[in-house]
Amino acid sequence: MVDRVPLIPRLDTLEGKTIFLVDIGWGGKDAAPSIYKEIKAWFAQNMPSVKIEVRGVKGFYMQEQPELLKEISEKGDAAMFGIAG
Amino acid sequence: MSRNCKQLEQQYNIPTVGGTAANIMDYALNHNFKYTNGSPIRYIAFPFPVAGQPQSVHHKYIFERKDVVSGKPMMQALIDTLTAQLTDNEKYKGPAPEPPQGASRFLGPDTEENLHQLFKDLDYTDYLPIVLPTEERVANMLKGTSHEPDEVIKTLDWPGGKREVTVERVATCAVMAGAKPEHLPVILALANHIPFGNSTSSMANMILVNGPIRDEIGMNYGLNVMGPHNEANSVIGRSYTLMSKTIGGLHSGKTTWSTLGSTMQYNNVCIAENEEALPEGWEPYHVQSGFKPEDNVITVATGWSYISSVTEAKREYPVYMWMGEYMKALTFASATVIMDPTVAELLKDTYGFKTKDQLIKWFSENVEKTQYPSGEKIKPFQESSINVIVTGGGGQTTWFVTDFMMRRGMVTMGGSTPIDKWR
Repeated sequence: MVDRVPLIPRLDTLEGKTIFLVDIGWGGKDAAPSIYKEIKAWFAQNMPSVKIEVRGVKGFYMQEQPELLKEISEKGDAAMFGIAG
Repeated sequence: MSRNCKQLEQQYNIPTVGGTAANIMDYALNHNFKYTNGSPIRYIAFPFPVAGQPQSVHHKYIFERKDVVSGKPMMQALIDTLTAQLTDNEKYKGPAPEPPQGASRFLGPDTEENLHQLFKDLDYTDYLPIVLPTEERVANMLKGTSHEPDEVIKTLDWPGGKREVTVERVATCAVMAGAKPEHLPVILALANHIPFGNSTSSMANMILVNGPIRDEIGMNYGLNVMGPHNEANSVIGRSYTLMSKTIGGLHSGKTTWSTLGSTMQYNNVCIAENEEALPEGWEPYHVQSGFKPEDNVITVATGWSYISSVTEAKREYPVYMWMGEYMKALTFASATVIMDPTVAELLKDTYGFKTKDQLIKWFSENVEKTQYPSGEKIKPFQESSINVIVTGGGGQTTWFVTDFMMRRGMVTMGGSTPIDKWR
């Protein structure tokens, strides 16, 4: 088994924050992009101060994504990666 | 996905959540966490399936359904993954708790019937009878190689990692599959390619053997080459399954979720090329890949299916055009055409393809697919992703167009592995 690495502290609230939703490409356009469209709609309806940014990984999902991670770190407060299945 | 989450958290201090379909949650929370990632990534999980569902279903997933992990309404669960305080477990940094002691190399004595049942209970079989791998039988199998039993061929880190593929473990699977010591060098080379294809899309594999060892161990490359009519083809192919399930750790519903599965995984389309029947100028696959004709080589390809020509070649429909039509049905831009020697002769003598490469070039330049919904025409097949294998007994001008992805020229990873070093 590999060494354990802790999670970093969570946010106090999502209000006013920017969340990146990242499509890893699995399942094509009918998977993550479709789910993310609904998540974005939910936030617009229920927590409109939350800003949603949708991105896709570059190339294959197993590839490193340094540019994307850097962009999220500069512009975002939290991120979701998905959807696998 | 978990790797991306871990990187973003550790390198940039950004809290993350992984989103997945429910079918792989056990893998994500257990195998991946314990053996690969080490970070207790928080997930939300949607009902399965996700891909290919209508927008209305995805709308319900978000607005009406509950997260499979927490049981909370989906969006509340998403918010909590990013805002709820960390638990002690999530804060822990350091070595993983000591794993349970590994199983002894030997089982206790029991009846033959009980031991067969134990192997089934462990999901170590393909549910056909195995040969019980006794110490004596494994020792005899090891006479098929000069390599030491504890030599590590490769180390697997997925699913559930750091498991060493040793010569002895491979020999054990070879015994279980019914193999003989003379088959072992081929099976050891094959072990470089475990585990076999694993995807919800229900992958299969194809194993191709080239070189003089085909005759040395009595492999079939004639009539019924792809059927259950030859011991060497049968046990080598089966050993790939048993190695993938035991050493590879692939168990249905835990680490493999192929929705349909594939009956090809019983034998993994284990064939040899009929090199002697190749038309003059047509090279065997391993020679095309940069090996010498006298080299013994095993190649493993991953794919899903094949389409057969059903009957025989037709004068009114040039056979290469017919093959090209079938290639249009393949999902990915990779094709392996398996053909009887009579077809290869026809392609050379009647249609002028003096080499495999010429035929491959024609496919690449002429097979056209229509993009949906744009209607755009594309030629997706590059020459390097098209392969031609000649095998079979000359009984009919039959061919199979398959979607097996063979990586010509690549050694080991997804490609070819020399056999002779494993003697």
